[in-house]
Amino acid sequence: MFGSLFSTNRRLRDAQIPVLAQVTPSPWQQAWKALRENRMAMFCLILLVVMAVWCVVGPYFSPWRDDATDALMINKAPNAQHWLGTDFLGRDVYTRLLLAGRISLIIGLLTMLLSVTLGYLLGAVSGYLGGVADKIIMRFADLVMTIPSLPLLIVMGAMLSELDFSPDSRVYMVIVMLSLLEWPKLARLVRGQILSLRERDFMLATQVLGLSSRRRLFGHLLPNTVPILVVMATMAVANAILSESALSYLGLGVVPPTPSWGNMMDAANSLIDFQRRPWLWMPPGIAIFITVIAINVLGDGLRDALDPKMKRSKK
Amino acid sequence: MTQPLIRFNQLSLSFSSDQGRVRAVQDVTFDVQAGQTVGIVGESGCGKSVTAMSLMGLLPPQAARIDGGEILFQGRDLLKLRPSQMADLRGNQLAMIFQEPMTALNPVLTIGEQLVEPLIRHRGESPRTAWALATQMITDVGLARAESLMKSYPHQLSGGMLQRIMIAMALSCKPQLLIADEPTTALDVTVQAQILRLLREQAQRHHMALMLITHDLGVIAQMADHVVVMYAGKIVEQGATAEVLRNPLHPYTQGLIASRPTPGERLRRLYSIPGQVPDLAALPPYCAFTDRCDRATERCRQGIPPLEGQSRQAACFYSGLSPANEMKSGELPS
Repeated sequence: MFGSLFSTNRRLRDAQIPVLAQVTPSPWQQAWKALRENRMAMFCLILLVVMAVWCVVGPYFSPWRDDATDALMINKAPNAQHWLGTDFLGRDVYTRLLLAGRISLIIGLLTMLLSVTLGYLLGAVSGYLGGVADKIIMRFADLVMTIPSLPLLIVMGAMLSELDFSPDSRVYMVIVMLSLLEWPKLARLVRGQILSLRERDFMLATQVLGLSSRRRLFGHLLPNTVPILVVMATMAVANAILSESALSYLGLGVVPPTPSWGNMMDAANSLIDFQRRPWLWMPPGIAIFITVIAINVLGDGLRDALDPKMKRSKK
Repeated sequence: MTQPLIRFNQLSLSFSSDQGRVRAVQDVTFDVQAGQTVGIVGESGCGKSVTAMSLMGLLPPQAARIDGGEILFQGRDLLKLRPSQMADLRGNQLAMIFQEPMTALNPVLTIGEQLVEPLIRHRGESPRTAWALATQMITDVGLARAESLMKSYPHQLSGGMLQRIMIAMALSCKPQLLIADEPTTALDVTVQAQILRLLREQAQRHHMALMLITHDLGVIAQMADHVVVMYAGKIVEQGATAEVLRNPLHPYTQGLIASRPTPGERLRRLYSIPGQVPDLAALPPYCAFTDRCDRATERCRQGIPPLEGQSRQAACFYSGLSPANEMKSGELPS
């Protein structure tokens, strides 16, 4: 009875819908397509992957161990055996650079993971619940953000040195330190997103359907924040790598013998090394530079791909 | 007389704002019988949507305050229910669809993922059964290729298709009342007619009451059994649709009817009611329509006319329903 009323139009619609559904990809597929079309971003992505693989695999192919000293080969310029020369203990700079890359990248990634988890959770709770919870979390975030980060890091680094951690476990302490400083920025961003999203019609619609708060938050609200989350997380990696370098350069982050790009650049502190032995500090400096730029360009590309509204207009 | 499905009883509510309390709804009283279609008409900002939102318990708790009255659903006062009890009713026995179907669906979830939710939430269906039921529902609202629609995203469908999806979702738990808040305003005219026909058919099929909020008297004429005309937060006239449209008693209703375009006629400038809806934060102590009414007299500025009459009600001193102010039509100031 009722179906027959629509049968006249049905044939027409039959013809259109399947084509539509197959041709138009999901939001994620669309974003991936947009990213692939962004040459700079793709170049940076490939560059980052190559660097990461190189850092992980490279040391296995190196004839030198990172902590093998050689009293006869001190401060040698790059040559056939030591591609990037040796340092003041005769250690191979190239091998150390790769191992430092592992450490720096791990610190970047783990810091991102920890701070994004923390910031995302607190930001989401703050934005969704509002009221007292929101006030407490946001005032705490403000507090952390108002303290200049470098002095705070220096103080915390000095405390770590007092506590006598082994160089390896210091890596993890650095991750925790950096995360504690990074999360408020993420929390604020997520909170802002949630505040605007929860006023959207589809959130009202979920309320009309009588869905539970948990379902509305996790099933409907948070999936909409994934684009900004991805972008934020990417940028957070770059930030963490930079902060770690600064800290380690000052001797308060990762400490030798564990290498990191930051503490390798410590060589530039000595005037002689700085003037005469650029192979000691140039490679880690360049590595940091390339990595951070690549991550940021990739982050921009991701933002353009995931959130077309934020895209800067083309010339 | 049987108990009505919904009874608004002397409902008054207000919002806090910078200008003080805005009295959005005052003394609203009307019934919705089971299976009946009730139309609520009025200009923007006259309290239609707020009335519907109060029924669904969707008013912002910080800003809105119920000043009095009750909303009875099968004898239970909805305003006294706990939030969790209200959530059990919403989407289950009380459903609602909105003006903008394009924004009422979550853009990052597929149609299917969203359609199954009320079924899982209220009927306790397993995801698999819910999926099958939801697919059937899409077919029921007149969309073909339900399977592929279930897997598509909202942006892939047209406004009309999305509104059908919204209707399917609202109807999934076989509600006793569906509130349609300007369901066709955002759609183009040909699709409007289809959506209205669908709503009417579904309402009849499931013996469901329909509360249709609109500013389009044409829609009311087609759909509603009973019409409630609201102005500045109050009911100014209500009664059976045919009677109200044929013989409007309140000047506001008369104005609304006069301002409808007649197809094919381009001879005169379209009538419009002069002025604007008064500021709800500063309502005059007399009939709120006086300043826009071309038949207002001194009497109109001396008090607020009560809503008088039985099945047919109007709030105007000159409606002819009030025994004390019986006037012959010739005496109506023109």
